[in-house]
Amino acid sequence: MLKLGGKVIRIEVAGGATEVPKGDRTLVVISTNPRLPRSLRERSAYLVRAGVTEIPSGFGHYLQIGEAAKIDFGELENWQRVTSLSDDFSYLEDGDIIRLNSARGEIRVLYRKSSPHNTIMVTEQCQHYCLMCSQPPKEVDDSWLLDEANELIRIMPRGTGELGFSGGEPTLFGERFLETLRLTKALHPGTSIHILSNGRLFADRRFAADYAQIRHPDMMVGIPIYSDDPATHDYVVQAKGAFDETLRGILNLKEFGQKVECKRPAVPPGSREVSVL
Amino acid sequence: MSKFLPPESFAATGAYDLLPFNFTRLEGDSYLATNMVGESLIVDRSTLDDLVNKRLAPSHPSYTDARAKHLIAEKGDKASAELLALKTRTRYQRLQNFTNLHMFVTTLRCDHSCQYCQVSRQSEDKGAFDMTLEMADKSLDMVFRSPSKAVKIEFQGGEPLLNFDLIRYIVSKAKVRAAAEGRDLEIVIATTLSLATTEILEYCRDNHILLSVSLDGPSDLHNKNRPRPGKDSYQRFVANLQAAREIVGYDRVSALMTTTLASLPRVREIVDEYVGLGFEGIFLRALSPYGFAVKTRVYAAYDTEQWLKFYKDGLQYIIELNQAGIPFREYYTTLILQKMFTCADPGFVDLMNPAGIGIAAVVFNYDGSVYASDESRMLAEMKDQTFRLGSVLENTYEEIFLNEKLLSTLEESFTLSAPMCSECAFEPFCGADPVFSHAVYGDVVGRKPASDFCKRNMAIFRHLIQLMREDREVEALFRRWSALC
Repeated sequence: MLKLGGKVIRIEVAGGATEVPKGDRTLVVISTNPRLPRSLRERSAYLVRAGVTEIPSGFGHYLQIGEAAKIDFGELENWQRVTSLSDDFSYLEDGDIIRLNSARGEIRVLYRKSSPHNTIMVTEQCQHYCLMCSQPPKEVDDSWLLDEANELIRIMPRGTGELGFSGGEPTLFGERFLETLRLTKALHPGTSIHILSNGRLFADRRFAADYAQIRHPDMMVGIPIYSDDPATHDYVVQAKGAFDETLRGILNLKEFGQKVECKRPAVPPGSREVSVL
Repeated sequence: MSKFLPPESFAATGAYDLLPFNFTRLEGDSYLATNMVGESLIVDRSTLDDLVNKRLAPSHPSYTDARAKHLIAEKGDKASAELLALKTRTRYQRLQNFTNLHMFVTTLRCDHSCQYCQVSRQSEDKGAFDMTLEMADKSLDMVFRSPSKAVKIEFQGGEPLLNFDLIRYIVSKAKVRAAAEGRDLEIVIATTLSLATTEILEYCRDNHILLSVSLDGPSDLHNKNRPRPGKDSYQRFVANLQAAREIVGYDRVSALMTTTLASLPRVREIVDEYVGLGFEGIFLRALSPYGFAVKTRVYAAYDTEQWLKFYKDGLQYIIELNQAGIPFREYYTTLILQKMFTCADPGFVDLMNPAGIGIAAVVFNYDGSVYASDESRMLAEMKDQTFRLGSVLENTYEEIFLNEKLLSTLEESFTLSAPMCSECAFEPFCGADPVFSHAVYGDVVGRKPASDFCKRNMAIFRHLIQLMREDREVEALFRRWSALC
């Protein structure tokens, strides 16, 4: 398994400043191209692999894998930050996007250019509390995640084949989430969108209609149904009335001509499974 | 005993006739031979000599090329002439559609005061410089007389966003008519974006309107070229470009640049600016010899040689970018490459034959006048009404499009018969620009050896051929450019 997030070894800030403003989060696109045009360097992070000694100047950020190479970054112009990463992150490639949290000394890999399945987690909130959830919901205002998703979409390489949105329950942001979908469509018209949702908010016809109004040529909602028995479904997701809303959500989406994928994930032993749909 | 015969049994005989072609010397001993559909061949002098004197041996590699490209036909080859005819038809097929691009000058008013601008006015007087509803209606009547199934309307200015109500009016009427008549409608607004609001951009999104915007280079250069109150042209551009991409769509916004004297030493920075803002190409344009550009001596400020240096340096940098893994194109080069590598004409108004005036594009001006091209109305602003075809308020469609001046200009400037063009080996890559010729030399044909148009384009053709001959990678890159639309 690739390590997608964790602590960095060290962050060095230009001018020797050690104090980093709290909550300082930066998304940067990684570049391994020493011939990148100047106009793109300032907002890119140049990845220095172990053993490399020749480093192009003018990048806003530099990342180095390990600290084997003793590089004098002081010679380079304009740089703001040098971050040292452990070997766990040596898989990073040109076009990947990471979040650096300087105050906490943390890195998170948000987008991998070579992966056909990039998914953005837009929230950890959810109306469900599924028995088998690997990522139990949190009741916190994490709308910064949606802001970050928008930022990621703005700098994501053109030509991304598919982009997924998941949570938590992404539709909980309502109109704000639709704005993110519109943004994705405008900036990446050729990118397919896949949304992992419990579908309940689409029971609101107005919301389903607004969603359909985006008129994306290739956008699909994947919705899990755990049983054809409302009681079983509601039990699995630990929410009374969930089945009814989800089904009405799917019917609304289909009425507006939207692509829906019904998923039937594995259910806890002993539960009644979906037999007829 | 095999039933198969050996290759020699099918070999070329060497008995051939010449099909029409022109040739010219490139450099040293190399010659370029082309025919009227744009097929081309590069040979050395002795091979050319053998070729035209029907002495070329069938075993010579150029023999096969010349036969495949319809420069020669063996006795008995009947398909060659038919293929030539077919490719000729393909090359000129857009003629049957007649006018496709209809430019509407909705206002001459503008919030910028660019020195090189041909037409714009700093004025609050809407009555004097805005198109009226009646003119818009009459112009639309003309648009929908065009036989073309695809209709393109481009809003020009001035700054067209200053008269956005009229744009709404024309768009809604044009959509209804296009739908009723089963025509494809494409709408473009040429704007600096400085006055773009969210409401305007959402309107563009909802009506599938493309935006053609202006970017001259880095901040200081752009602001110098494009002064406006507040001196913030560039800052407004960058902010509104992002907004336009996020609302209307990334691929719905394209940019054009204007080359001024101040641009000349800075082509690499200009290209970098385009790359940095996420554009996938640039159109390195020469300044037109019209309007304020002549009056304010901006046009005379640099000559063709200086512009060519700018262009070649820019193209070299763009090639280097591609070699460094940054896909980026130069659009003028791409247009020419399409002419070199395919028999389809890209239909660029300033580089097509017959000339694009009136039949590829037409301008409906703010005052009801109809002009044969954008350049024609700029000329008119300098009191030269030569290419004013009429008025939507006074003339019929027939009177405007069968205008004697238009027809005679098209005929006289036709490159397959114009003196020196008809025998030029670069003719299939080139085009006629009679308005330029008229503006600078006083007649629509012009003397080719003295023509800047001729000098500029010939130099580009030679340069592109040389680049491809020197480096196969560049040729492969150029072929990719020509294949992308």
